Amino acid sequence: MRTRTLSVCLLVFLLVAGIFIAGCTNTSAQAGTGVNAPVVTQGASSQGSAAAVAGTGKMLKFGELWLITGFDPMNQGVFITEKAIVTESLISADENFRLIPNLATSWKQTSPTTWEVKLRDGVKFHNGKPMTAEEVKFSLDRSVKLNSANGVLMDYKSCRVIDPLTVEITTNKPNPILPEALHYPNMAIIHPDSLDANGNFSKPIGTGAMVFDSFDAQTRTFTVKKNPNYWGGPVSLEGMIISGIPDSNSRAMAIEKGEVDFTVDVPMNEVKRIDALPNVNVETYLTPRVYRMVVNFNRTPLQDKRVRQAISLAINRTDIVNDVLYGVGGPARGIYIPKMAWFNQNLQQLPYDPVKAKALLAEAGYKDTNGDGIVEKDGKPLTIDLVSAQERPGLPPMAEAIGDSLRKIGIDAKVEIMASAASTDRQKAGSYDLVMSPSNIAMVPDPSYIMEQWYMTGGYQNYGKYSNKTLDALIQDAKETTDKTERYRKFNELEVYVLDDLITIPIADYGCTIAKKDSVKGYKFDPTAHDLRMDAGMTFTG
Amino acid sequence: MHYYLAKRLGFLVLTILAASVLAFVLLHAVPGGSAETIARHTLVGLEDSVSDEVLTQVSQQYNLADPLWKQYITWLSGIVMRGDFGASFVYLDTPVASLLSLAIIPTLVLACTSMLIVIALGIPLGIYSAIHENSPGDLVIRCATVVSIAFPSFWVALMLILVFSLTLDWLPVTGYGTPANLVLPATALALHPTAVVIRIVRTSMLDTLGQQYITFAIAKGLSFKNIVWNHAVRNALIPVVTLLGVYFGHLLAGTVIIENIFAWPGIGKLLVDGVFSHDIPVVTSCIVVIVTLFLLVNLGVDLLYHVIDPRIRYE
Repeated sequence: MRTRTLSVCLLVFLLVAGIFIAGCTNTSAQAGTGVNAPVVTQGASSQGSAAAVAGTGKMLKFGELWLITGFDPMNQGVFITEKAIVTESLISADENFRLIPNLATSWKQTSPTTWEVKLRDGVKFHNGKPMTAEEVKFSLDRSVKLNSANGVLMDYKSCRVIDPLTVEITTNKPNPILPEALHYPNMAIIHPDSLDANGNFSKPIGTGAMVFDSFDAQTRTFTVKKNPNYWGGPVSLEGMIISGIPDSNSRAMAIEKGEVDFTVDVPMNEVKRIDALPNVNVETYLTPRVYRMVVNFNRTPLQDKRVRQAISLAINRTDIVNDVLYGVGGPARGIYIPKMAWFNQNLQQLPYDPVKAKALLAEAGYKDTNGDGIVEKDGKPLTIDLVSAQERPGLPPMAEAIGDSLRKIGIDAKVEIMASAASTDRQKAGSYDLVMSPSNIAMVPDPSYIMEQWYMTGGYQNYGKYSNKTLDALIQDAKETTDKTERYRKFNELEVYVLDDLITIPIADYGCTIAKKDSVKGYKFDPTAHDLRMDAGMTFTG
Repeated sequence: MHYYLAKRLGFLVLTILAASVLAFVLLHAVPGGSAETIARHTLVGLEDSVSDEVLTQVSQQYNLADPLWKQYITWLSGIVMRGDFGASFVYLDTPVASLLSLAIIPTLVLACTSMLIVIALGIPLGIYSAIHENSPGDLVIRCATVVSIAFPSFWVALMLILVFSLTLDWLPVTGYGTPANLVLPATALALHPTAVVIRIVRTSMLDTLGQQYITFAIAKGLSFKNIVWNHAVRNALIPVVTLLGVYFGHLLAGTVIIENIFAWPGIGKLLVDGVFSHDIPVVTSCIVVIVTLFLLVNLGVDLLYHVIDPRIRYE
């Protein structure tokens, strides 16, 4: 039959072409894989084993926020330390952002630039070897050498082993928040056997409640199992199968379909519906992140404090939280969030008063002289260019709502929504009046971090180029204060100062939603984590 | 023949080069600095600010201070000399070549499965439709093809999910590794080309059946079955093979959308993830791979003509 010959020809061609091309790239890449080769399992085999384990009904399927692009703590600490909980930092923090012991039991400043850190006795790595000062020095040296951002955060110079359970860390300049920087997940402690013979990172051997099991490079699925010898006591969670689902609608569908048992940040308008599903519940928490507006101080109208006040007064923060964020978040009271130990508890929600806003504009010389609804000064209308990135779902509608509020008090507000890379470029070029920003306010659990970066002259997140010598001196003084009570008191005063001057305009506190099956019990949220921290103390019965 | 082959291969290489230059230049024109992208993905947090120290470290590590043409040459010579597609801006531990080798198999599996569906359904249904011209069966097939051609594949994909996953709960929405995961994406991808193939086969068959040699064969007293299978089909399928070749390229392109809807870990998903995370080496490499596949398939189809119809010669 000629037709058969024909279709066979065609099939053979297709398949041979396919296999040939696949084969080619495969061989060329095998040599380059190197780093991950020993731990990577491919495709169906590990899927099968994962499914088999899931059959026991105890492995928790966790739909992560980001794609899993790596799991070396020196740069992927947020994933491997906080989400996979395979590795741990020396120091931990309680829900009010106060430091508590973890792998380190105590720490003290022995000179302006040196810190002595005592390590916990009896902690074992997943390979059974004890954790000592040697591994701590190895991990910190390595994290700074490979990632200069870690070095900047700690102001790290060197680490010296004093005895098996004591290290001395030296900083370049006096750094009162070195312990806070050690809380950062990138500074997690790993065993040197985590590296292969060539010194490349191959698999994470940490001290955490979960032990690394496998990573499927094709589907980027990461599996961990419980650590039976955890120093912190028995672990109730059997293990986790973690996969990254970067799209929030897909995460919602995954939890609804039962493809994951635990996920984070479902779309805000879906929270009520998902919470009402029979086997799923949604919890909302505040995380150390705020929605705020960066003010460009190179623009003449915005240099006038009354204009900035008018803008802030025009915004109805309660409505924004309820209608734009669907209640996921809270109206801003200050630049920090209320749970933080250094938050100024005397602060009230920022007021909404459009009448007063108009009065302030008039006082600053802006009046509507031609009756077009827009205020003018010296014949020029007051135009505000409000730029917003589109990536976080709350941002674009929030920017639109604020633009509308500003138009109501007579400001000609132009709202521009764009990709975050483009909005960052605009910020750097200074071609904006206001930029919406969802900013992290606690890279490390201390108030100085954002105060310095946002408000000091030359701070690298001071995009608005604000400069005030008095404030610079006050921040410098507060930053160098070591006594915690005194330090927090100074930052309380500073919080009032920067709010009064409205150097940046806070809008709302950022909410994080956790959607999980009802059979996940006892989950405790850690507000100091950078997205969320998984909790080995929870139980999951399938 | 040899001259023809050399000419075609020469054009193939030129086309790939042109595509890679275009992709490289266009991506560098997109806002957002490369050093900042790398730093955010691999060193600090995704939305955190990057200090100058870190930017300097990254710029040096990835040779970003070099002029664009030099960066391109470095990248290209890496591919040609060592099969090294460079370092990803996002995956610090995995070179682009490994990412591609992991992603290409799922894409080829998906595209080949769809192709098999297209061949297995398209050709027989087209022949049936032609032989039974204007019968009720022919009408149903023709209506179905018009509808299928009108629906874009992403819409079909979403509807398939809605019906077979969310409502009936027969098949998984996303995932990879089991045949059940393959059913919906392959179907969504195959529907449109299948419809086109049915119509082309039908037209071509009708055209062939009207030829004089068929009339002669009938007059000679051959059975209708014999005429259809031994005389008509082979001639009628020549334009179909061209079409299948072109559509294999379309299937590869179509996987970009379908893979993202079904979270299928192939080249298309790698490409789109790369676009979103501004991962220039990954995006340019994906484009080069897709263009190469497309061109190779087209070349293969052109060469296949000779096998089907020995009258065709290459000059």
